[in-house]
Amino acid sequence: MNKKILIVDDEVNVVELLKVNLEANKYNVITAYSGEEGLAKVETEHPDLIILDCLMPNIDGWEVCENIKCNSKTKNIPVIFLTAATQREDIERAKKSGSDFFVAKPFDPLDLIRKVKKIIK
Amino acid sequence: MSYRIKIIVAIAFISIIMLGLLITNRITLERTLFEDKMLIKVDSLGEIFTEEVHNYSIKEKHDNILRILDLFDKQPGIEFALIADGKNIIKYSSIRELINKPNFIKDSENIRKSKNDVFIKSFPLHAGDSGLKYVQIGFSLKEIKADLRKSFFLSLNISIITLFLVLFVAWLISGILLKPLIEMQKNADNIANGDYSKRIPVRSDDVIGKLAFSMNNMAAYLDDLTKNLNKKIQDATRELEITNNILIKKTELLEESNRKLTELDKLKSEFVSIVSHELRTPLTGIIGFAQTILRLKLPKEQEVQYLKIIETEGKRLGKLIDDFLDISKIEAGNFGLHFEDVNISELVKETVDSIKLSHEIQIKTNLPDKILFAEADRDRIKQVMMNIIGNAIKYTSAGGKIVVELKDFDDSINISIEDNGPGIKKEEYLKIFEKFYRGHDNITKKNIGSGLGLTIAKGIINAHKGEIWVESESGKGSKFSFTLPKKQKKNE
Repeated sequence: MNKKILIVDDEVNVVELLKVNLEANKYNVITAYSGEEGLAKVETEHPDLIILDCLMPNIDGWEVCENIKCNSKTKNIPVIFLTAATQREDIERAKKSGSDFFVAKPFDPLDLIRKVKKIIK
Repeated sequence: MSYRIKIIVAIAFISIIMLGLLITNRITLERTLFEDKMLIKVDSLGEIFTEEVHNYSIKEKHDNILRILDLFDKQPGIEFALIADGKNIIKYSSIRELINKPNFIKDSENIRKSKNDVFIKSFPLHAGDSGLKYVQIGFSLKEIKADLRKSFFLSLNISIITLFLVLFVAWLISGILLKPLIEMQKNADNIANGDYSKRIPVRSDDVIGKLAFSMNNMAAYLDDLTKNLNKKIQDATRELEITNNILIKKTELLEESNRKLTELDKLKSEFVSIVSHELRTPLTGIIGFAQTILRLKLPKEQEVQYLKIIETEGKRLGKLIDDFLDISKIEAGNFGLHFEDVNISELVKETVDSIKLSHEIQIKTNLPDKILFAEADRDRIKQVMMNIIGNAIKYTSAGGKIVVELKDFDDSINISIEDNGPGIKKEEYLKIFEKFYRGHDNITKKNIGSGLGLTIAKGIINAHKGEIWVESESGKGSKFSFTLPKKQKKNE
């Protein structure tokens, strides 16, 4: 069965970009356009991997990640942070919230696919 | 012992010596005088007596001699009288027991040295054959001695009274003489205690007066010096205080500017961080979709869709760069505005007309009959209006209504853009004009710009010496207003 990947980003274009590339690599893609929607879909869809944007209104990516890692049902789902901010603090924050993977914007979709393949074989 | 007592004791001492000398001198003089008188008396009495005895002895009336002797003896001051012959046998004597006995009574040598109260002197007789050789008379010195004693005691009494008088006068005079000295001593104490204000009365032209004068001078000089010094110290203290205050103020200013610089530095790095973030988002779309198109074989339609995204994101990037440039111009305070006479009424119409609207949103303009002019940068004012109207459209959902109104005031033009969107909370009235501030609305980034639009609008309006503000009722919409000063009538 194809692996299920959840994309959470409020940038419609970024979601579309990730979706088309992941689908081309035979991944089953679910999308969410806000932190709240993302958290709800994690619960219902049980994805194999989550690609999460840092900066979103209301619930930002770090909070979403913390929530995922706190929940025993979801804490083992790997999270890749998409961040435009390459600042050290932001990366530290991502690590603290429970994720070891992050991809800086702008990114090469090919690199991202490679990373995804590495994480979920 | 006080100085006055010392002086009085000294005077008393001197007085006692002098009075003693005076008494001694007087007593000596009186004694000499009495003795001389006495001697003369002795001699004259002796001569008379000798003469009488001589006469009677010649006449050989021996009874008469005895009678004369007794008579003589009765004379005041005569103790005894006797007559002796050549063999030193007493023939006649007022003291009968001594008759016919050898004479052992010796003459006194000197009246001064005589210790007895009797002065004895012999006078030779030339009584021819009678054999009588000399007459010896004893004179009493009691009277003289009593007189002398009396005189001595009188002198002593007078001396004692004089001494007391002298002491009393000395007491008075020393008081008068010492008074200025005591005053000077008190004043010296005052000076020593730092009180230079007191002066001593100068009563005389002598050394004491001169000393008082000098002391007054000294006190006056010290007074001046101290006042001068105090004034100088006060001046210096005041100057120091002023300098200190200036220093404190300068330090505060320095701290303030340091704080501002630190804040600016922080803002700058934040700005750079945000700018880089803001630029990366559209870049992600551009690069990502370009690579996607190149690598994946996509249907033609999808390719066109992605190319359009690349175009939009490219434009967004361009807009962002423009906004960042504007912000940096605002922050540098150098907008480079091109002021000209602008028909604001026309500009409002033109701006509203240029906005393409979806059917769900209505926009209405409310213009006064009078055509209004302002001296402004036409493009920048249009930018401000576009920005605010753009925001209104973004935040107004379907069925939204936007009213652009132009009002004429005495010295300014008021342009307001009102919408019936979600509105803005009061605590956000000022924040929305801050850099990168975006409302916490639950809408996607698709609709949100750089977060710089209102900051730029405020910068532009402020550069026109106008004001920009917002009024809003949460849930019922918001009204953005800005003013522009009217064109200055240069010809008037």
